[in-house]
Amino acid sequence: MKLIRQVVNDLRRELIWLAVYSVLASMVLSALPGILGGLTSASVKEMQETEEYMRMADISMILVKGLKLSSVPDSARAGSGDRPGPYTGRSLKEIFREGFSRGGSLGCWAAERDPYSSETKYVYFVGRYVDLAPVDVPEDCDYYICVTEENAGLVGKTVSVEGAELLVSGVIPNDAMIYHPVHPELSANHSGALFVFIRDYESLRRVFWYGPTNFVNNCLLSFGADEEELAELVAAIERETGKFAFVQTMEEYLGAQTNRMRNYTGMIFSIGAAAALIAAMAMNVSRAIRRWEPEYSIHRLFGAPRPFIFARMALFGLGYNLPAILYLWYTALFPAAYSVTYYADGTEVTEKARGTISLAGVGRTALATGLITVFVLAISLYEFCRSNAGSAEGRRGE
Amino acid sequence: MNDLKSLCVKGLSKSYRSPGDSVVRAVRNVELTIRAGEIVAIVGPSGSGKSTLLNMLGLIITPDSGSIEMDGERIDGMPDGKSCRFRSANFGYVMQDFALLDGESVYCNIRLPMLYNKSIRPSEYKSRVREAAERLGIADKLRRRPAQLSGGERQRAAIARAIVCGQPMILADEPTGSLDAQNRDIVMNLLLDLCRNDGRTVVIVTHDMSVAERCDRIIRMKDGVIQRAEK
Repeated sequence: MKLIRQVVNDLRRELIWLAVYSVLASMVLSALPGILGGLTSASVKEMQETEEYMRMADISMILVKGLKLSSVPDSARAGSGDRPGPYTGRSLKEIFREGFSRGGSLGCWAAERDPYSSETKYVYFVGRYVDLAPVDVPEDCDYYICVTEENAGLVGKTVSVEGAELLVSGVIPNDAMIYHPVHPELSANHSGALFVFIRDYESLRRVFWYGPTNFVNNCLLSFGADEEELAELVAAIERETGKFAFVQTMEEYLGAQTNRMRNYTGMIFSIGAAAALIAAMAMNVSRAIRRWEPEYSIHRLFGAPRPFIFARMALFGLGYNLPAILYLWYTALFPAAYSVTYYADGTEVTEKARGTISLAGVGRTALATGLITVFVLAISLYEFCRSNAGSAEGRRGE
Repeated sequence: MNDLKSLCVKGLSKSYRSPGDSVVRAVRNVELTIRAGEIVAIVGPSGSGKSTLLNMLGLIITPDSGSIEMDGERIDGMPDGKSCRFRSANFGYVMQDFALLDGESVYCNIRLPMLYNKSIRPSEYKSRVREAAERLGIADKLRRRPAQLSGGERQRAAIARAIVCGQPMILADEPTGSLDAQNRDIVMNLLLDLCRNDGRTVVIVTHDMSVAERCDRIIRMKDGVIQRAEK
């Protein structure tokens, strides 16, 4: 009781610093997982995503992106000398008609925002990419429309996609993995989206009646195409769109992403930032403990045993970090609420939902609490040993 | 107050390692007896080892060799917990810089040694603090902070703290070093009073010969060695 009273008294007298430190420590502790997470992966955050990432790398497909000439990477320009010359093969439309047919070699994946609402998204799986969908799409249907669990009530009703009325046939589970390396942001946020699966070019053209060329040549995926087919596609894109067709195997693309994530400079920065923040926290706790050192010496002089002084230092250090720890637990146990807006039968519906408690988040918070405790105990022990050594050596020779 | 206590020191030595890694022998083979109820001054130039000797007598630092006995019982080399209890019950310290807790009231400062003395019940704290404060003439200053007191009043608060548990021995390191002549006399009178009327044993480390001359004995130190003890 005496110890607790003294610690509370110490904290009370440090109230202003405590408030400033708590805000900074909360910010640091919230930022650290992000910084440290950046060391291993910038965008692939969850294990499930990592698995999907590996699955993508395993699939033999080639990414063909139509790039404006001004945005073509130098490395790609340098390699363009080896490219085939002007080719007088089939038109893009003919290639698409064959490639996007059932059993064809082309696929496409795209995400679009609803022009009338920034909240709702359309996600298109086209051609062979339908086979990578998180649901089983029947072979024989031209269009297969799915909604997320929030909009399950729309199943059996029609929705408007680019002006065409299409029947909603299924539900994508909320935990379904729709990760795509080119659009990683969607993997974390696809609630309320409408998923459109289209297997052939004619069906695609019926929806995008104004011409699907722009839509599909932004990000084409060629599954198991040989060099000749690829050269024909590249030539057709460059000839008909005036864009540079940038070709990469999926492995190269993902490899480039990984390299970027593991970029040495970024890594040094992340380590440096994390180390600087941790050092700043340590120095602040150390400073706070040192401030009371003369008082601890006086207590020691009048009979406070060493374990009592150490306990007082350590509890003070923990108390100093308590608001930041409580903040971490608050964010873990009461995740932020968010609102979901979607259209049900043409009516806008907005719902407020509370975030769900994640066991992984609670586990991480428990781990962080443990690490902070060890961190504070280590600083307290260091300060305790330092002050003991100082007092043993003090007043030398007087 | 606890029973009268005498101290007997035999072959006491203490060395320090200086920043240049050379060994400084602060106290060398000191033999000394301080009788119960006596007031003794230890004098000597700076660096002569007086404060080191006082700190060893008060069990604040551990000697390298030799022994310290109180009433024939060896008190050096005790485990930390036992040493703390012993210090709290038997020694009262008075420092040149007062060593008061600036953030606490005078009351809390005087109460401090009792927090670590298990023989005193918390219900006694108030009466004991008041009694010590009245004796030192600062009973009306108990609610104030040390910064609100004059130098003399601060040193009286420190002396009150040194006697509040009934400690039989007072160890004072330059108790008048920060005071003017008037307050120096007041503090010295108080220490003499505690010795003459209560029978407490008082050891004073000082540079000031006018203080030392009022003591029963003067012990002169130089280079860590007692040169002579005189009446």
